[in-house]
Amino acid sequence: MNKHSDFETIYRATFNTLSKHVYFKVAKLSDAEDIVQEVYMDYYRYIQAQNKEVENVQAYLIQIANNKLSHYYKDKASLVSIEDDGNIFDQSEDPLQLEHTVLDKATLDQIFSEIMNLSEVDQHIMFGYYRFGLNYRELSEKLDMPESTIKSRAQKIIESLREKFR
Amino acid sequence: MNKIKKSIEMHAFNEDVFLNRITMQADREGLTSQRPLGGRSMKKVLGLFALSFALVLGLWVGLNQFSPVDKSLITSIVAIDINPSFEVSVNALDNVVKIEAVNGDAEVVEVDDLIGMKVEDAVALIIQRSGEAGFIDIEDLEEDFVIVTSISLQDRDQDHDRIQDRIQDQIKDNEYLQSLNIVSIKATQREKFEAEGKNIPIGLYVINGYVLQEDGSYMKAGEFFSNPENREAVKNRVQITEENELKLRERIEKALGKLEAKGEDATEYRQRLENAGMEEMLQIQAEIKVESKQAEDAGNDDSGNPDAGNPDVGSGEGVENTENRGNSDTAPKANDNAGGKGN
Repeated sequence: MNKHSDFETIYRATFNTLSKHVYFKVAKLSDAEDIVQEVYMDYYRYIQAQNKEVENVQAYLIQIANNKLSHYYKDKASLVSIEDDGNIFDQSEDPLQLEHTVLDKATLDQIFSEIMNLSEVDQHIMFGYYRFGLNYRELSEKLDMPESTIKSRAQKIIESLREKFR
Repeated sequence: MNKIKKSIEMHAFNEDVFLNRITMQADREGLTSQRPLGGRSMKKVLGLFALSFALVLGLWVGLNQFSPVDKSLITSIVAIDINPSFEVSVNALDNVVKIEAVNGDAEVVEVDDLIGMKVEDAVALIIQRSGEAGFIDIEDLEEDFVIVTSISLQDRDQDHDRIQDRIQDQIKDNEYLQSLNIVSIKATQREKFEAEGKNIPIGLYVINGYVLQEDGSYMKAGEFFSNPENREAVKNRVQITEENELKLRERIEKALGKLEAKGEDATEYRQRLENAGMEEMLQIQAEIKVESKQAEDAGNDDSGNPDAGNPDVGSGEGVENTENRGNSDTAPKANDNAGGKGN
């Protein structure tokens, strides 16, 4: 196996973990994606140009990411924390799990565009749930918000999407 | 599949899209071989972009030759562990970009005006100001250790060497620093990461890696370096700039003056001090410490204090579990009132 396929193997094995690690430490999706891409480029340069091997690749990638995050924090605001609005979540159904037929009319691009119009916290809920497979308890830990707040915000997000594409 | 999920997976952190971007960037930088990263379909894509990227690459290389150093880009970190503990972030020109107070004690030391300075000047001022704030007492009979750890974020030895050389030159010109034992350590990014995970100052983490503690606790720097075997164990990783002999002699002279002021006879010490080298002076210092403590306890006994304790022996204090990074000491504290600026 050559270095390129080595890189791809490692990339695919670590991408989700690294992306999740970075995304919940920054405010914007685009910033997180930039940082993740830079981390992999740094790693690629390290093993290719300097012809070196890394023993624990995942830890190494997280290290690089943490260094870049330190630089990021110097310039950017962190996620805004939200107070619990006290709404009681209807536990009979999970809004993020349901198939929403009203969205059948919308294209994937349109849905994503609407998600990007949400607040940064709400985006983190959506991406955390749908992209990284986190449940409400995990989201609550990542975002340092009560689980009930996460659930009630999820409900509001779905309602806003339904309203948009009605 | 839920349509929202599908939309998000397509647009956010799309593995294949990222891989394509990395492939193209790697090609632009000339890092890849003829074989592309992502499979057969990538060959056609790369072939189509090859000509245009050649033009873009030429323009990029030309522009880069004139691009200045990014002064905000951190290339190295210098960790200073006294207690207090600081992290000084430095750019490629060895100028300070950021200073972080790592523990609560460090927050009382003013450092904002040090941004933009050369790293060696900032390190010297941080140490001096920590002394002014009461965290170091060069007048007492305790050896003071300051650990200065350099971490290159690009894992380059030349970054370590350059920064450590700057600091060593500063020590030679700085009278205050010559009163201290400065321990210079090179650490890797991985060790920094591990030390952060264990909530231990990086300098202590590195040196304690060489000493097996059965109960998992970490030794203070003073105790660690008082043992010649430990010094031998770390000699390949650590450079110790010991306290200047003259400074040590001055300190002992002052201590003898205080002993004599209490009515004690210091003649023998003075005779030994006359021709003493560094090792002998450290021995004399240790003995004076014992005698001072005995004199103090005798004074307490005379006033009816039943709790006169045993005298301290040696320059290091006992092993302490430094689980909380914010409270760990690298040097025995000069006084119990340390913690306020301008004490």
